[in-house]
Amino acid sequence: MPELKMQPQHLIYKKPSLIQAIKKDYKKNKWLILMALPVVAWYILFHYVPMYGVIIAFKQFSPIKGIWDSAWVGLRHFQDFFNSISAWRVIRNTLLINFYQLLFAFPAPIILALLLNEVKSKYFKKTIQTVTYLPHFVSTVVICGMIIDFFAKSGLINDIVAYFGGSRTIFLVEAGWFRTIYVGTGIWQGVGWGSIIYLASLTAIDTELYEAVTIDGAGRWKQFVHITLPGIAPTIVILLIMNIGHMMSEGYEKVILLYNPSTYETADIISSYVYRRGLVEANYSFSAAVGLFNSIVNLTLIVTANYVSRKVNETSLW
Amino acid sequence: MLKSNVRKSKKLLTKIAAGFLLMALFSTALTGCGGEEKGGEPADSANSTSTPADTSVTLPFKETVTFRVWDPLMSTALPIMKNYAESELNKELERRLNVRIEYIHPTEGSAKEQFNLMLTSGDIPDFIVGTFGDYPGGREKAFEDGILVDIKNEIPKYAPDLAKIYEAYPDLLMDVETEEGRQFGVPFLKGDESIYTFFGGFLRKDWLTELELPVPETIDELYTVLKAFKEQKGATAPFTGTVGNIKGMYFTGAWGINQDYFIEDGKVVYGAIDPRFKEYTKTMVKWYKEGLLDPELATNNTKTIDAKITGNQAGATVGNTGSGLGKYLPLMKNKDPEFDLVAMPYPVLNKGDFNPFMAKDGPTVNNGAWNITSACENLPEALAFLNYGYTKEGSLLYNFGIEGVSYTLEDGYPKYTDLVTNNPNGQPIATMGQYYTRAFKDGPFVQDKRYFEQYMALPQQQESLKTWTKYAKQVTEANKNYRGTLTPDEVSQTTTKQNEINTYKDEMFLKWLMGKEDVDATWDKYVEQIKRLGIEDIIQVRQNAYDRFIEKFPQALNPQSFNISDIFDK
Repeated sequence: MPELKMQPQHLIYKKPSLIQAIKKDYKKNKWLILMALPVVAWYILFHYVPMYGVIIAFKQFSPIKGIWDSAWVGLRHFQDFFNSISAWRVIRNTLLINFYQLLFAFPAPIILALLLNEVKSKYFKKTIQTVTYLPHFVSTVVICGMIIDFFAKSGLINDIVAYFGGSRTIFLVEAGWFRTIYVGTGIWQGVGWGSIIYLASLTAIDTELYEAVTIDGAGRWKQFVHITLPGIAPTIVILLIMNIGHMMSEGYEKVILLYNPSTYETADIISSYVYRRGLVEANYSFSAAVGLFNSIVNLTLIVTANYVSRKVNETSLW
Repeated sequence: MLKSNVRKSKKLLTKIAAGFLLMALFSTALTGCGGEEKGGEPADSANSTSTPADTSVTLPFKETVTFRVWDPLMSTALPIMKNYAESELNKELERRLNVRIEYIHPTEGSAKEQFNLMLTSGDIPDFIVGTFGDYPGGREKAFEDGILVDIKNEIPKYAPDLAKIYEAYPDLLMDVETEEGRQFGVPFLKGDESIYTFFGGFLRKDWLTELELPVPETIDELYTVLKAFKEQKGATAPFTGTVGNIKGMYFTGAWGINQDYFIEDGKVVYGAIDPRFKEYTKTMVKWYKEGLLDPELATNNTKTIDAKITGNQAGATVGNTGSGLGKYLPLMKNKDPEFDLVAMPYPVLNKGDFNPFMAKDGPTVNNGAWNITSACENLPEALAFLNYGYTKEGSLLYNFGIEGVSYTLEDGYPKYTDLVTNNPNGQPIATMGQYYTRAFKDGPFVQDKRYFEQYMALPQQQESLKTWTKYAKQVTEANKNYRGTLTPDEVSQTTTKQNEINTYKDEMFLKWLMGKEDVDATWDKYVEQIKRLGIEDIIQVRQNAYDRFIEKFPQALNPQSFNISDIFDK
């Protein structure tokens, strides 16, 4: 009996506590909440509201009729995409480019950050950082212009090859070279910028840990394996999961600036294909359909990666 | 405190909600507008026929009328103006006619995307210059969607001078009227046959003279010349250009085809799977393999092509009289006095043959057409304004600018002043020409051949026009160019298929050219694949469109040549 009485009392007590908690929280974090407000509004306005536009993937969107009044066509655009001879090729190319990026471009900033961490000279370190950051701030269009010049028949790369007695190749018309050039120049572009986050997490490692292992007789390598690497592992895992979540998406800008019909074989990816079909030919519904398909695959990948990571090493996004 | 906060947040919520509602309202209002105006159009014209006051639109307008126009600006104009409204011609037009014209220029290179985005945004100007080729479904679809309006019946009323031209040269209607009998805009017309063509191949005259070789006329002769350029002049890219250049009809025409759709004996033929295309491809493969074609065809751009021609790496290419010959000759005049170029006629297989394709732009130039949109509120005034270009006075203004400033009349011949031809600030004629006139671009008027005579000042340029029109008469008689407009339905049926085919075709051609695949071994597979992608359906659709066109315009079977400029002399 008393137990029964206890319960309603408990409920009555809990309700005001929730409001009070909010009130208390608001009082305490008023300015923080205020500061977060624009960001929340931005997410709602530009990320959630436009989501309703995704229904054009199932419609024949006509700008004049608007989103709502365009006719429904069901799964026609999805069928169009999967029936196209390019579909599997662009999916394969997208996945492969991303796979190579994961394999080569993902570890690159980690290695750079670790190397920089071992550098004792402050000036040398700062110089290297500045030099490696620089390409990140140059526009993709300019970067691609430079790449085209470098890889031309009379360009820098061919000059080097010729100097060592090799024969000149026109790299950008060779389908076999495209991914190498794409991923390689991607590393050049992003390695410095990408290393910042690892350098930040390196500074977060407690220096006492290093002192402790030094006393225990650990050398540089042992320190690295047992302190440094585990120290930044959570950051690496989180970024890895996020990268896997982008496996199906790769920006079209760099691709359309570098490819040509002779490299379509390896260079044509989903976004460049969508760019040609969707934006240039104004077939917005088709692009929306492919975009939706992309997002679904990405979501599946990120959820799976997160799940696996949580099971295996207890680090995860959520 | 808490209550007031709740109230505040409620207020905020209502505000946000109101904002959304407003946005929604705004967007529906915009789309609603287009629909309304479309509905309102016939009523308007009905009114105008009943009230005589409406038909008397006089120039200059009593009150300033403002027009907005979507009009790509050529990069050659950029050194002197960022917007066409700054041009002297535009200021003069505004003074004479009491109009205000606002120009919207897309960024060069992304005009296609911006065009579609403009239409999507719903903010549509009064005039749109261009073909509407980028609009899915073309002009007919744009009309169905309520963007364009049919002005056929209004032209005789408000644009009498244009109507007079149509009356004198009814063949023009083939180009300006749809099969349904609609007209959406006014054309840019070329006044004389001698200025229809400005494109073709040219090569180093000094090298030819040195090697004692004649200007090549056949494919074999061209082969000999390129071989000599390579072996004796050390050219690393004897023929330079882009893949599009060598796939263009300049070369394929020698085999009697183009790589796209053309007409043969009343039947639509798709060139890229024609056996003659195979022969053409094999020749190009051979040339490429022997190093006669620029190995960098696939990655070339204007900059690299220029460098190769001015750097003695290349001896031949294709291009325009103005931007090709007119660029290289002055550029090299001081650097290398020996440097000289000569045009070569469209090549043929055997002496005595003729090349049935010729780059030809005229008498109507579609990408210069001024289309009138449903957003235009003053249709009579708009037409009256456009009509001005087809009057004798307007024609002089559009072609030569302002008398005493940009031209002077010498025995009735309008001669450009030094401001245009020999600008004190060193700006080239192509730039200054756009500042004072529209002859160097396009517009709602008849382009005068006297503009061209002064623009193409170099003897090599004048000569090139004659060389390239060598087969002009036979080309007109052969009449192989495809004509006909697909309906919006047909467009949506074929676009996807056509794009797949184009991608595949371009890719295969490069694979063959670069020797990655053997033409003989893969040709059947290639044709088979293109058939699988639906080429036969497209050909059928195109055949139907062609048949409809011929039914509506039987005169297309017997094309006549005429010179529109004559109308001003009559």
